[in-house]
Amino acid sequence: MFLRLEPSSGIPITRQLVDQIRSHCASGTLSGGDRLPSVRQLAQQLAVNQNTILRVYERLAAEGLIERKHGDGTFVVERLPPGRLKAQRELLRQEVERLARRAADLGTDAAEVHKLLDEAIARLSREQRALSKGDQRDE
Amino acid sequence: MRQLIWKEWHEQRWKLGFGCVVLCAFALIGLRTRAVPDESIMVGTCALGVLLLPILTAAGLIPAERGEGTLRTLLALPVAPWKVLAAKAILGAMLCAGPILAAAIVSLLMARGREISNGATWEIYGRAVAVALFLFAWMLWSTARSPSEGRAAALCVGVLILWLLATRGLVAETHPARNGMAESHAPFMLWAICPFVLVFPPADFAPMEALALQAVTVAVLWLFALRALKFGAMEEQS
Amino acid sequence: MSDPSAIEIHGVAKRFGRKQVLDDLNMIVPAGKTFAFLGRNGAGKTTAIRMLLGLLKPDRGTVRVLGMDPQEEPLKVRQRVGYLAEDQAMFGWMRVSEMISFMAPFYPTWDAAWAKDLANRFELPMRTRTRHLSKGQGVRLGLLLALAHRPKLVILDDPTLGLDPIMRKEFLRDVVTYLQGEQVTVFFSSHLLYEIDAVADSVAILDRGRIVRQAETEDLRNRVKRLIAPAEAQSVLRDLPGLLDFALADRQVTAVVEDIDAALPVARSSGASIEVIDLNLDEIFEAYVIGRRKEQPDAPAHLERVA
Repeated sequence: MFLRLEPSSGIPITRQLVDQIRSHCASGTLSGGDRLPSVRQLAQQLAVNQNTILRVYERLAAEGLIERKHGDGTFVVERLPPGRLKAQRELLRQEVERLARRAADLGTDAAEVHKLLDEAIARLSREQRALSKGDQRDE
Repeated sequence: MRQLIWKEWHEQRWKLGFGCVVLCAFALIGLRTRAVPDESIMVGTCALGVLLLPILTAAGLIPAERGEGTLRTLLALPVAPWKVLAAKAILGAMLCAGPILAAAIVSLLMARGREISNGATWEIYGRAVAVALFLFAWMLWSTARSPSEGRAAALCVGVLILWLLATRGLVAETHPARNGMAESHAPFMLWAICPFVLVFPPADFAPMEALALQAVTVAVLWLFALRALKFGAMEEQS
Repeated sequence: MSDPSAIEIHGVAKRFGRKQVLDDLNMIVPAGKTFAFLGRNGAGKTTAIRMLLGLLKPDRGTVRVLGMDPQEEPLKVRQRVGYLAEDQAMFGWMRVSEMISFMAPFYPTWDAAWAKDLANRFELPMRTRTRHLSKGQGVRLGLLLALAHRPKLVILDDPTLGLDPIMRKEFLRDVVTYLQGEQVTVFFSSHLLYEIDAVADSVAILDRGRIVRQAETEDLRNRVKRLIAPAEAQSVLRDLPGLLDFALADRQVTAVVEDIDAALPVARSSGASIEVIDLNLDEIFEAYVIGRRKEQPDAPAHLERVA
């Protein structure tokens, strides 16, 4: 699992990590039953305070995404909760609101915004198809 | 304490060797060539030692360390400042006395009592050691706040010149011919603190009394040096 | 029974000549946490730290370190505290092994096996003289010497001064690895903020001789925010509770507030649409230290960056 911290971002580190791990769960990079590094290990890896990592894991556990098995370690839950989709949607909604405000600031009308969005989605799916074709060829 | 002394020893041992070599060479060559009477050679060696050793030693002990920043490191350790100063003082004493004693041994071996007795030789060198040590005490105190070796050396030279002038003035005032005992009407205080009283003691002072006076002076100087060391190191704002 | 706080400073003041460096300093550092002490260069961080070690005497006020008064028992305090000074000068001629054996007798709790272990982990060459060590190695040696006696409190005074970014990160990684989770209190002074952000549990901001804000890092980040609103809202924004910085620019007005929960409702009462921006620790620090609480129309839009 690849985690990246943006040190000078305004977003608190806890939120950055929780968001990233949540995305990994959603996208499949982390599947049910996968083992997460221990609090100590992750703290050392990222050079981040152990208490912060603890908080991240606690928050993810509260959302039902991960569970701590005493003695064994921390794992992604076998079956990811349906509620996570709701959490993801909430995140997306916040992003979209930010986008809408930005568009308004720039004086872009609604039609233009939709057009840009469609183009971006199309481009992304093209890239993903190219990637999966590449994977098939490698195999 | 032991490792403090070990550290000072490690830092100063080359100077000790150098001092020994220089003084012994001087004595050796002088006594060998016999161009001048033995006693003059010995007095000359002592003078060389007394004039140079305390200055070089004192300038290199505290100010050098301060200049490098390691004095602050040292005083930030869980160690009583007096131990730090004591280790330096001990090494300084070795550095001042050592070469002179080495030269004494060389002189004894070379001269072998031919012109002056062994006892007289010891007396000359003995007094020289004492004067050097007490001069060192003055210089150690005066350089305790010095930020650099160079400036400290200049300060020490100043101290030396001051004492030489004071002694000359005192002796000349009381006794026109400078040899052995001088009749003193000079203020007692000055005699009490001047290291050279050991070489030119006033008539009513035996060498032992002169020695005792100097020891008291050194005790007082020690306290001042300790204070200067502590406050000089930390009171500057970075 | 151990003290709940590792360091307690009450009403400390210190003057050097004409300059009042510290003025009514109050700070409590809880045990077992990583505490960052932030301030500009020359703000008095090193002065405060020297007082913790009994190297300087405060003009006023009390200091307690691990329950002891550093003025009364300086040696005992230093024996229990690991100290790494900024730009630490070491004895250049000593080899690494000699430095270690030199320091050991000063500390009754010195653990020689642990020192050796650390030397291996830090990859320090034992036979090399300290003057031939690289900067990064020198700092690691300093850290080793500060940790080898297993102190309960470690004081780091701007230890990453002069290190390149990679070495800095490695140093912080070492702090996280060897100190956190061992119930060791870490007291860390620095002016490099966004790195401290990740590592510190709490921060205290020192400005003009006193602590202007002390809080848990997470808490601080959650509460101190920037508000952006259209210019019509300026009269409301100008008087927000806990205002740290205020600026007017053409059609927009922006304010940084200490407590978003208190300020946002007031801001919203203006009726204008308010945008809330997250701030990183750098920006929070700037707001506290060089924030303009009264609007100055002629002031430059961006003051010089805090170094």
